[in-house]
Amino acid sequence: MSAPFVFATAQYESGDWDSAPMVPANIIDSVARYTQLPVRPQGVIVPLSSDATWQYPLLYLTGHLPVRFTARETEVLRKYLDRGGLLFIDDHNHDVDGAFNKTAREEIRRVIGPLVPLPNTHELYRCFFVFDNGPPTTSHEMNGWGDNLVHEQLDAVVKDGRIRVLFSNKDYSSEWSFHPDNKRFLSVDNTRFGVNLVVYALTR
Amino acid sequence: MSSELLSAGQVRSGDLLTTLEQLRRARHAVSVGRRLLLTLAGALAVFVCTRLLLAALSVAEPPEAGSAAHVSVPLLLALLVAAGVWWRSRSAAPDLARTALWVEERQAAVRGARPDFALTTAVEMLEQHREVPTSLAQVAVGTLRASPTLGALKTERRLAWQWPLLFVVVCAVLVWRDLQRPEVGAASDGQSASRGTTESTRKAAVVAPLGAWRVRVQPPAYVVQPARSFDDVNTVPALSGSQITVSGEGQEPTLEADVGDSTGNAGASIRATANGWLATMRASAGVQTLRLSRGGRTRLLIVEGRADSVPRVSLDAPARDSVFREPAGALPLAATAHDDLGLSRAHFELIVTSGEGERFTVRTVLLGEQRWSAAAGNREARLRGQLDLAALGLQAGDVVHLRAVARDAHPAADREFGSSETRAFRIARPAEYDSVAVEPAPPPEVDKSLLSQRMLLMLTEKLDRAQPRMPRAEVVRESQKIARDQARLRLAVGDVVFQRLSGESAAEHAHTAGDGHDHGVDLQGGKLAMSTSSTTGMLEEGNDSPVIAINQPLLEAYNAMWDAGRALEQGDPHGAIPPMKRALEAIEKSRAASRLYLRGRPPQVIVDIAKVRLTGKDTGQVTVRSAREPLPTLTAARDARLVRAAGLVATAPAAARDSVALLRAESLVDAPAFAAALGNVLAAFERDGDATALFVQARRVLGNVSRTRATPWSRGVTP
Amino acid sequence: MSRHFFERFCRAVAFIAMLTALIISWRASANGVTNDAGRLVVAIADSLAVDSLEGMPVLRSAVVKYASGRAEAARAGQGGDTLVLSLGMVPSTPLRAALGSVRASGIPLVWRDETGARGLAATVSRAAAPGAPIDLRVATARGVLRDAPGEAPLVLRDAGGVLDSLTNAGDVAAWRLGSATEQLEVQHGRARVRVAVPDSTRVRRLLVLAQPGWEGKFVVAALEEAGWLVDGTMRVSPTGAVTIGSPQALDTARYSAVIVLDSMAVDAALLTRFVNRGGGVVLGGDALRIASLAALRQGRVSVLRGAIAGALLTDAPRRGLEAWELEPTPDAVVLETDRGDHAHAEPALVARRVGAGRVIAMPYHETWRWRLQGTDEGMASHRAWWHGAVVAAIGATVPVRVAGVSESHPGSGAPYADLVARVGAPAADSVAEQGGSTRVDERARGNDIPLPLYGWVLLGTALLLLVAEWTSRRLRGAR
Repeated sequence: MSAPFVFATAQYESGDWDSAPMVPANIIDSVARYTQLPVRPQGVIVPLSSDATWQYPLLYLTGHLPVRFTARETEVLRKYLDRGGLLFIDDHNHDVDGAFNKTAREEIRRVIGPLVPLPNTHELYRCFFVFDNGPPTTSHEMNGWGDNLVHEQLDAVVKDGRIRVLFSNKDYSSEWSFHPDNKRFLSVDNTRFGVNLVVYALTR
Repeated sequence: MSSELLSAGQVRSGDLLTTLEQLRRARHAVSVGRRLLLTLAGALAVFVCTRLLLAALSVAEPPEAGSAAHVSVPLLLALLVAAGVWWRSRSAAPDLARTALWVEERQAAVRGARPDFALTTAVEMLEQHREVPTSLAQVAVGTLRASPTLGALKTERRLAWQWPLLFVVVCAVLVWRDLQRPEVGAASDGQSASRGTTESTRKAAVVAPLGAWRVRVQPPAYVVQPARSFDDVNTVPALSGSQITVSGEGQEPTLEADVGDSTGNAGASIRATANGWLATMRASAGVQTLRLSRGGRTRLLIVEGRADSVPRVSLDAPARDSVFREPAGALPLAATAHDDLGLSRAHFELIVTSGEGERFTVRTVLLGEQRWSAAAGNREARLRGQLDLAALGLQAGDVVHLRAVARDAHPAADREFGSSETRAFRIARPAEYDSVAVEPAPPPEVDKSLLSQRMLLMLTEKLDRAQPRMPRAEVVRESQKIARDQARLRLAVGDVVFQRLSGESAAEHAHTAGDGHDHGVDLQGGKLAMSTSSTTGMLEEGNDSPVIAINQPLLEAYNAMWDAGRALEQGDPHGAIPPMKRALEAIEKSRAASRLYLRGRPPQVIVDIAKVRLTGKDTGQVTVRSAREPLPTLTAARDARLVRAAGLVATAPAAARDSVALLRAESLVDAPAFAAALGNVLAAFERDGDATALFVQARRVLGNVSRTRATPWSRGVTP
Repeated sequence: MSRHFFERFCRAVAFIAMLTALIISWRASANGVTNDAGRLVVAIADSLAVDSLEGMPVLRSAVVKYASGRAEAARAGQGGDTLVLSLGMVPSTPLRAALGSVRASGIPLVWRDETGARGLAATVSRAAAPGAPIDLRVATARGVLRDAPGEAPLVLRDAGGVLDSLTNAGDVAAWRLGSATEQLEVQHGRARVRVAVPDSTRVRRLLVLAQPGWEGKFVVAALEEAGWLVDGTMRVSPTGAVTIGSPQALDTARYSAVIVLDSMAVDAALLTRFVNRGGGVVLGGDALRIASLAALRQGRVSVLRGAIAGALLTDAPRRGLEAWELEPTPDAVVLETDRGDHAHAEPALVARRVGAGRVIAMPYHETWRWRLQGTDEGMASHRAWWHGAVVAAIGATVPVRVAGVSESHPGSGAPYADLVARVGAPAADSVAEQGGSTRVDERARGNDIPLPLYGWVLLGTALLLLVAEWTSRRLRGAR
């Protein structure tokens, strides 16, 4: 068996990186539920300024407050993305005018390049479960939370045919912040997209 | 005496002779004329024929008109022939007797009878100075008179001279025209010119090859720098956006511009000017080549563009993040900005975030803005400012992110700006000061417990050393104090080690051994095994979710701390030291193993993988992964080009130098070592030195040749 | 008086010319010397270049003379003659073939080695891999012949110039070239070898057997970046799988190598058949623990050796990876080693031949860490490492059978060996000296007019002079 997958949450200095502590467990639960991939039961938290970042080729980053990477974090992140890592950023505010969205986009542009919309026909949406209409809508979007927009697409930095940074304004952090046991009450499991993300990261 | 013998009334012999003399002269002139005619005709004929012959023989290379060979040879031949013809056609000049004979024959021909030779005899006798009988004289004179010789002779003379003269004149004119015309052998009788180049193409074939040029670099307008001129260089550095003009003399060459790194249209153009030609192009941020060719010579101009770099800003003060209890006071701000060309403006930027939970509001404030004009060309600037916390209207719980921003004079709308690191300042909430303050910055990790454990160990050791001198009661009291601290620490570790699946936060209360609470976790003398049978360890919340230990080293630490705590409570500091050391070691080990999060709210949920494995309703589908593109390998192509360029050195050094310069320009980005080696080769060319060794070195640097280990295996493996 | 002088002069000069012509023609025929012992010694000295046909006419004339000499000897009742050659340089390919056929035709041929050349052999093969790297191996035989004092360097060059130069090369030197011109030449002292670089052949695909994970992802990524076409399937769930490329049945026509990365269930019989037919297998990391592949494996795998923290950032990055301890079998070849603890070299890449194919073992566990956690060159090094391992596993260029021609001689790759194979080993000096040979040094002749021509010129001149003298006499009136 190959080494187990470990879900890593990125910790950055400038904001509330820990605003969604339930998301790792939820995703781990979904991965275990739907795939036979070996996965560690608990996620880890990785400071972006440390070399430990490079041990986890998939990173999850979220928050409400402005994101400003230090010089060390920028350097580590740039190397991480160049060598093949995948960073998934989710705006917990769900607000395009909010501090997190604006600052995070600017920081990513400095590190690796501008974010461009990812077409909904990308293989990310078909790599395990099929999402015909692109990224699944979250209940927070439907409820008009934040910027009152339903975002049709995710944004990404794609280099050499591979997604390096995936940016979501759809507030999956809120969507996935519940106890995994409560999945049994859902008719449609809304964490399946997270499984797609993990499978994409592990196989592409 | 002969004259006296003639009778009167008759022509005297003197008259006879005189007339005959005249006739003789005339006839002589006619014969000379004929000779001349013959000679000239022969000479001209030979001249023309020889020229035709020579033209036919040298048809491969049409000679220029009037070339020496094609004139002198026929002329010589013609003269020779003329001399020969003149010599051959010589004849004795007619004397009087013969003239007389001629007259008589003429007369006879007119009368149709045989001549009687009276005149001839008379003339002969007169010439011999003999006496001429009268009857003979009479007949002779009669004959002379009867023949209309003089007039006819005159006519004949005229005719004899007239036609030849005309013929000669015409031929001479034709020959002269033939010599003037560039065609060969087209002279006489108006034959048309057949082959050969025309006047205009003769002049057009000469095109001067491309010579030296002058290059002028005009930086873009926003950079207030003067233009620079270079003489006949092959490489010119330029800032992105500069206008490059290349000018030279002579005809306008053909232009090819290669934009090495295609950041847009090079927009190179060329036009002819009064003095020569002018080519213009705009430099981009990469390497571009301009190829100009004329008259069989091609030259390359390599433009090494460099981009205008973004300013670098560093925030000097404040030096680190901080938490404020109250939004009051002023923070001095200081920052330094550097740019390669010139700054245009700089300021401090503040982002103030208010709110909590899921609701945040954001506003941006700018402070301390400074502007400079482009002409000033400020490359370095210091920013100063003051952050007045009260003026910002901050509330408890707000966060202020501060950074310094600088822009340069580049006119593009989406131009990047330089920014410094961010400092974050937080206004603390009042509630935070009631309990242990939690820093918003990186959470205290195991380090904190490490420090505490180390501190406890130090205290215990100190107590142990002081023990002989102290009364027993005091020792026990101190040791129990340490035990309480140890227990507190143990519970903090225990919170991490033992997790619950209930999803609710563990109560952050510190329990000690004798505080009266029911510690469900106390089983088996305090040591907990990693078994699910410890479900009987319920806490006061009364939930029934099992407790599972997940971290082996911390579990060891937990157990060791438990031992140490027990020893301390019994007043035995000496016995507590070994377990404390064990606990310290275990904590260090767990710190090295993985980063742990020991903040106030640890992650609460641990997934039971075995329980949920493949219980989903859906398990995905078979999908196809898109393949990665192979990285382009240019090594082999560059090696081949280098070999070709090296081969050109002997025969066409200018072409070799251009090839090497082009190769260097193309490999500046992805193979800098190779580009540097090629730079050495170019330098050797400049010095006219031997570049062979440098070519070999460049080939090696390219990395095409690597030594492998010679193992018995047939395939080499590069180490 | 001058007339007489003229005639005398003509006579004298004609006489001298005839004498000279006589001498020259006599000397030309003395190219070979038949001595008492009935041997014909032909010396081909240094003037013969290695790659020219200059020796051919000499050889031809020597053989002709030999044949006639033999006929005489047969009439005279003497024994068979031996053609003795003294070679100053290793002859060119056509000359070697000619000597071989002379010997094969029954003429006893003995040659004296004065080449002073060292034995030198080179082989070139081209891997059927992306980029078609050229593998060149050069073997030198030192101490076999008379050694020149001082060790000459081993120089590798192609049409573009010197590629590399090794001193103290040892017995075997090997290179891997990314590209080269058509002819490669290796020179060692006075010995020179030329080999032609074969064309590159079709690159086949790779099959990867791995489970979804970082190792599978990054190894496939590295191989694709190196230019390989990779097929495979990663099973994610009972109904879900990720297909890489377009995997088909495992066959040597389609796949050049199989890479097994994880300890998973594999069809061992299929794999073994694949290897026996010439395919390559790379067993990486945990794949060495698959029990069903024990027959293919290079040896026993015992424990997992821990990684040295921080070694990924040093110049020995592989020590920063965990690795299985591998004890190679005697028939396995260790291709790469790493410095281990206690100055003990750990095998990093071990190869073994199974049937017509090759099996490569790479005991490193989670090599992806080299790419992500190493230095800035780690990504390229990781890629090059995997590429090298795969190239070591696949066969060389597919051999093309040419009907009818069977080359049993070493050929131009090893000219000295080829000469020995065709003509036999060089004779000891004593054997050749017995004949009391006379060496004719042809160097003096150089590029002059061919010998016989002089005689004719002189003869013609003499004739003319005699005719002139006779004419003068007759004109004078004398007889």
